[in-house]
Amino acid sequence: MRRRRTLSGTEKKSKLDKLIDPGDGKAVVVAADHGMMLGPIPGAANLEQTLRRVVEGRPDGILMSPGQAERLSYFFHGKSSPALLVRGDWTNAFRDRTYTLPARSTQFCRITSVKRAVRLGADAMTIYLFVGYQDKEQEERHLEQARRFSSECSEWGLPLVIEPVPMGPRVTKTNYHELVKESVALSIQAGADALKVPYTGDPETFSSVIAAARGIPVLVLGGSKALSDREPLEAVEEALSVGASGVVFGRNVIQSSDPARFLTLIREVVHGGKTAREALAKGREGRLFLRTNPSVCTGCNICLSACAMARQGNFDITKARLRVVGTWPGPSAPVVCDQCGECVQVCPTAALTMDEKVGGLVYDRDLCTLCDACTTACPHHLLSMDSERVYVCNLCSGWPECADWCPTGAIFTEATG
Amino acid sequence: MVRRLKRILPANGGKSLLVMAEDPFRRLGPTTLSSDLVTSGADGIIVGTTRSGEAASLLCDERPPALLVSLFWSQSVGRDQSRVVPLAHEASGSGASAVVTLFCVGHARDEDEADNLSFVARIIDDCDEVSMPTLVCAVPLGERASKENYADCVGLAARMVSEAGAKCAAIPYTGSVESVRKLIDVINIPTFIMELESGLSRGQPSCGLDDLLSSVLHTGACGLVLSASAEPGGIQRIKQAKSRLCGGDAL
Repeated sequence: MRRRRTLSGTEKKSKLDKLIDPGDGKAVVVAADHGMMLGPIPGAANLEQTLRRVVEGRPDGILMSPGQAERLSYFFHGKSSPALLVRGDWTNAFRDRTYTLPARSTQFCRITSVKRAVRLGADAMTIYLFVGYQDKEQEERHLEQARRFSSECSEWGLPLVIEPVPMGPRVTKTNYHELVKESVALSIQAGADALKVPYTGDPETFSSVIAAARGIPVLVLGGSKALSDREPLEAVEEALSVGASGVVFGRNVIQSSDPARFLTLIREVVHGGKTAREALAKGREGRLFLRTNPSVCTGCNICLSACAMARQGNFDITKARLRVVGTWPGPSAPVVCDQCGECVQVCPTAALTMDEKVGGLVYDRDLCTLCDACTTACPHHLLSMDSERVYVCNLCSGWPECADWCPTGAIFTEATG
Repeated sequence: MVRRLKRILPANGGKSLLVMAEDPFRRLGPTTLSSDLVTSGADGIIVGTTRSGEAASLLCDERPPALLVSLFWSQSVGRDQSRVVPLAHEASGSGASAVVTLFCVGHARDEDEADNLSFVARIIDDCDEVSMPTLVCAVPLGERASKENYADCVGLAARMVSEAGAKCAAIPYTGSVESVRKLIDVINIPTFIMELESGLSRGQPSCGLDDLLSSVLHTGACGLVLSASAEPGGIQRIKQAKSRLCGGDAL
């Protein structure tokens, strides 16, 4: 069963090509190994059901624990199937206070061998490498484990994806970026063939992380479940702009109400070269309307904040162009402009008109006499006025922020024509 | 692997009965492998590695009960896993149908959980190589397990072993049939309900044979792991459990 070392470089390359598209050098990977670290969390509890929806979004690879990889191996059969990444180790580091038995000290251990991963049909193996332990000896042990995996991977011709993460009491907000760089450098030394790296929060610092990777492909981590689709998409766009080779999304995909749709958006950004806005604009061609689904509204008011910030540059939600009826966490419902045209009809000076092409109201301050007729006429009480002007919804000129930021899909857009 | 699994997993939606002749938690020591125990109706008998040779001579044919060999981790094992390596081959050589081991969560020290998992993962890896199924008992044990988190601890432990690659899990009764049902739905591998000595951990709900049988018969559990008792009436209890599992009579 022993393999010749001379083959491993070629084998690794061909396996890595299944994961990272050789055409554009990019990859979209879904992490579905959460059950190993956190237990049966939402999205991972019935993983088979979740993965059926995930594969519709055509990810380039799926990361799984050895047990799940064996049971759900049929997802990886066939030419167009995603690449299989097998998790080689375990850690309790992500079990924070919101999970059962929160970690008191960071621990890690091997859960499988490279040989077994190869038998499972893996195209790559993924392991952690933490930097930031209080105990330097523990850090050294972790590095030693990574080196052993690397040596086995070389023997078996299996690419090794190392996930370098700053973790432990030495990690602070100020040294985080430096520790990411340090852990990336250590991963390269340990023999990583690709990296799975947390985003440092801005393109400037992340570009120095990419530089530290010295040409090894860097896949950026999605992190915990974001409030909206737009937030992670923008982070991916930024990371790609400074040289990242793709993404690894976990909870943002498996806990999404529509994993396939979210993956399609990610692919548009990663493989399609689109911006987050352009990806989100898909399906918004024609005249736009805001629609609501009150049954999923949680009353979080993020829509109000997004509207105020986009239109006024502050969080004065009293000037937001929409309302939320009810208060958190009770039953709530968003109320948005449905472009009924009542305000346009009563405006005596034609200061308000309807944008028939994009949708939304167009307000001309020069023509407005502040007569208050429009605010009185609005059946939804959405128009407000102060001594300066009237505040109306123009659908953010075709990019409604409220819909983009709504975490539950209670506000969404519909295009006609 | 499949042939071996078929010997311990029930066919056509039935329920299996495994008897633990060497219970890691029992203070009475191992039960004698009498012919009464062998003919008690159990589908499998779990013995420790030290007695696998003796058991092999008693459980040598294709008829039930099947032989399952166990090896349990304790703090004293720590990171020394030299004992693990021969286990899979030993079990295979003695004609065993599965290897049984134990994974506990709730330890006072997080290191113990990591060591225990590493031990279990090593057994799974080695067994996998010789196509030997693994049954891992997932049990909350230690100062961090409480009444409040008991079922969650069971869910965490069982899901971890399932993700590590165990072919079957065994979990203790968690207080109600409903809570057992919910857990079994998220473990993702065939799951047995196992009898535990009472008072092992603070949060452990008390239960009798009726509770165990109910949680096997009214959930997706694939069977029951019963402790063989050295006390008089132990064999009778196994026969009673088997008869109820076969007849679907929980109460």
